Amino acid sequence: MAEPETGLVGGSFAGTGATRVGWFGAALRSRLVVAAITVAAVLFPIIVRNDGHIDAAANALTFAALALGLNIVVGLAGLLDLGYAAFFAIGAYAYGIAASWQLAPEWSTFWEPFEWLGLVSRFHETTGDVVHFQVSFWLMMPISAALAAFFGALFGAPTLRLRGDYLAIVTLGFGEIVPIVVRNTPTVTNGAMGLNGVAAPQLFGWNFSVDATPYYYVGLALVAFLIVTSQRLKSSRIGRAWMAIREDEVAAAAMGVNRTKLKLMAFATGAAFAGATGTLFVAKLQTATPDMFGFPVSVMILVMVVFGGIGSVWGVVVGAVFLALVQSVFLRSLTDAVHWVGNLVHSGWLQRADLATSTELIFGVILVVMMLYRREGLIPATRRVPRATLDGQAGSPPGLGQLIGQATAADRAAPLLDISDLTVRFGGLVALRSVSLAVPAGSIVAVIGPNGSGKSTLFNAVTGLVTAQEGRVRFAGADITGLPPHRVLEHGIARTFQNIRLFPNLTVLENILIGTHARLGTGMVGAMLRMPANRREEEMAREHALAFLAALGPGLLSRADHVVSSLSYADRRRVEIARALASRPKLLLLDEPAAGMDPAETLALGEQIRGLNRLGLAIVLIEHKLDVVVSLADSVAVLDHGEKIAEGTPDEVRRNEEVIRAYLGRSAAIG
Amino acid sequence: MAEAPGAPLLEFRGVDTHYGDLPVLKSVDYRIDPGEIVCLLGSNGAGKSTTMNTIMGVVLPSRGDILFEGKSIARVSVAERVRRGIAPVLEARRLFPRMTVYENLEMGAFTRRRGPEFEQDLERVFGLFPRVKERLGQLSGTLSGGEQQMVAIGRALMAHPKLLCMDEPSMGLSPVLVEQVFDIIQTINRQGTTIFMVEQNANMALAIAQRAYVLQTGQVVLSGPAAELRQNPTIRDAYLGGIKVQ
Repeated sequence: MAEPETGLVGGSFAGTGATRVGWFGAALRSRLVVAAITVAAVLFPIIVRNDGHIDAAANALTFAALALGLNIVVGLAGLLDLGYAAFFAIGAYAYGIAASWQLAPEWSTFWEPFEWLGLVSRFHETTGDVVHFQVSFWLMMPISAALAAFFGALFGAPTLRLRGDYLAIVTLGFGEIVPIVVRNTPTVTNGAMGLNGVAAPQLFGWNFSVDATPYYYVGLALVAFLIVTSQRLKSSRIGRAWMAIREDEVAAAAMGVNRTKLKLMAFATGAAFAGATGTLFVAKLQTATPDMFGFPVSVMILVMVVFGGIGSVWGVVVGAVFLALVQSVFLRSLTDAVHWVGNLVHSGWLQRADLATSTELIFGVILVVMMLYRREGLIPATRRVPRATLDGQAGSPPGLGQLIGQATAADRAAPLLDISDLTVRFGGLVALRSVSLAVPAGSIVAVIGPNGSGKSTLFNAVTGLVTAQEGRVRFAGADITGLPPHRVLEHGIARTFQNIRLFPNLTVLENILIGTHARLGTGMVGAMLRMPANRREEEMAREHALAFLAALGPGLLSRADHVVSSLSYADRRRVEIARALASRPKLLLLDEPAAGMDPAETLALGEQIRGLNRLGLAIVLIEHKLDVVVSLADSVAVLDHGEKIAEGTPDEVRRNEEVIRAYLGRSAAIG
Repeated sequence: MAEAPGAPLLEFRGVDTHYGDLPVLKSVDYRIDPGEIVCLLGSNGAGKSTTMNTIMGVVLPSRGDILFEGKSIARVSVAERVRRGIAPVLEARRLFPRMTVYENLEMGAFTRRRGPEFEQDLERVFGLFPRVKERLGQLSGTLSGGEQQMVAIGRALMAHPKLLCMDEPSMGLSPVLVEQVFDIIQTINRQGTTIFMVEQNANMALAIAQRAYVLQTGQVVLSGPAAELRQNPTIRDAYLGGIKVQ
């Protein structure tokens, strides 16, 4: 029977162009706003001319830079860090020590090359010549960032397996350790007394000295750079992977995200932001003491992030600047106003009131009000993703046939997936007992069995989410037993989950794009530089994502930038399948894909699955709807209590007494 | 059986609901009499789960009235509805996964005073689901899907409801378990609890229900005795067909 590949290829892309005008309008508007903010920020010191105010603004920019860094860790990757100020301290002390008299070892020939490089100078003292460190501020900024990044990864490593409360407690510990170490190593850091006489930056021979304006501009440049970096990271493959980890770590791993690497990258990136900022901070103050980097500072930065909008780049900048100015300027002005009122009404209490001493109280009130009325912060992290502009291209979107990972001739020689004698135990409970299953290339195999019989455990063991105690899993000729989930996906096995594990707060398109993670190459540097190759890759990924979306449900195209939690149950199932396809697998594992679908939807899904299979994709299917199983599967394996009790064609299995007893029941077997 | 048209247990009178601006239910009327099993059929997005949410008070009607035992409950809180005798078995079960089975059952009886009745209901649940009794101390998140569904139904029964509202009790269950669950639903009904049920498995649902409503894009397009609906050709095509075995 020559059935057309129902709705699978060449889904309609009409309508994607219609929204372009609106999107460009919004883009233009936001560009104008950014331009206006930039002009205002650049002109600020020229117009204001009050050194105190410029100084307050420069400090506010420092906090904005810190908030941007913490936003990478907490906002994007979802790793709650309560000791963030530690990295600020590391950056500050790195420059403080490299540009002060704190370390003054005796001069020896060892230092001569460094003197030639201008990093140190020889200083004559009565007791003998000593080394004076005078490393340039501009050089130290990236070095401090790198040093902090190193410590970020180092402190991050032990927390990799932790989440939520536990992670927060450990970071809290590191946040306490750093100031304590600083306090207790006086030879290097001058202990509790603090570093003094840190050199001010110089630019073309001009010394910044104590005037606030140059620091303001350096701070402004730093914040601008970090904003661009944050935004580029956020909308890149890396940022998407961070958000995936935040939303659902297990699903992220199953979609090919290397959790260890990405989490360490998040810690390191956030720490690097703080390290660079620390350099500026200590250069401006020309002194550093351990109490500048304690727990209250970490909390303050966290409050700024929450207040501005967790995950929102502009939100955290606005939040940080606003709260920093509240503390340094507004509260003082407000106190003056209160005193004035106090004088007017002759109230001694009002005359003496000092709001600046109750900063924490006022912050607390602001935060409580915020949580009650605007939980997502000042500027919520909107996740609008520009659509791929397919209408600009000649021809149709790429056919699915080219996108699906084709099994090679070598794959066809042996079973594509070969599970042998797999045993999984949870403590004393045997979830799978010596189960073997072969999936030939290009076939559809169904796994059925009672609830709790080990079907999902089988999927989990194959995809590396649980570890099998015995047995081997071979895929396309390679032994993939015990590989972590992201490596299994890279080999070409993608899956869906029984209880749908999409990334709930991301859009449909973003969810599917995360599926492409393992097939893209853009790394940290590529994401920041956004080279033409990276841009092309990103555009292609978007095109492919839309093609997969169209294949699973043309109706979903118009919802590409809706948040997935707003979709119906059946649509979420479809998006999850599209996400799995986006990794271009050779084998797709579907865990109850038709659950929650009505008969018409089940029928459509069945046809889509068959269409995918005709394109060359092998499929293993767990399903309770027998009509789906019977109409789709080439062979059926039946599990009961972790053991395979039957295997064969659908008809053979339906007649098997054992299967009828354990699973089908009388009426289903007859019907 | 006395077929006297007594007062209905639950009644929807011209109910409209909206999610934001989006209309979901459009002038819907339902009537559920004491002692009945009534099922609600319809495709995804027709408004079945919204109906359940409206009965429970999670969604409030924008127009029309809802009567329970003759009194309007349209503006009554969820907790108060449970107290008056409506208990839900939620879609996808929604147990408290990090609480034990026993604690989940206790939560079901949250609105009631503890006493001999609690013990009676507990015994009733154990009678229906011997398996649940075996698993009392286990965290409910570690149960299999079928066991979770049993606990979910048991938890609802612990509220000692007059009306049990079930949202897709067969979802994700193996055929044998589906049969068992439907048997148990009938037993619960025979013990005196009225049942209103949303179900995709129309075959099974119509087999045990007395009456059924068919919902399409938020409107009731068909209603009547279940036996009649089973013979209705439109219904057979739309809801009983599915993929036929060739």
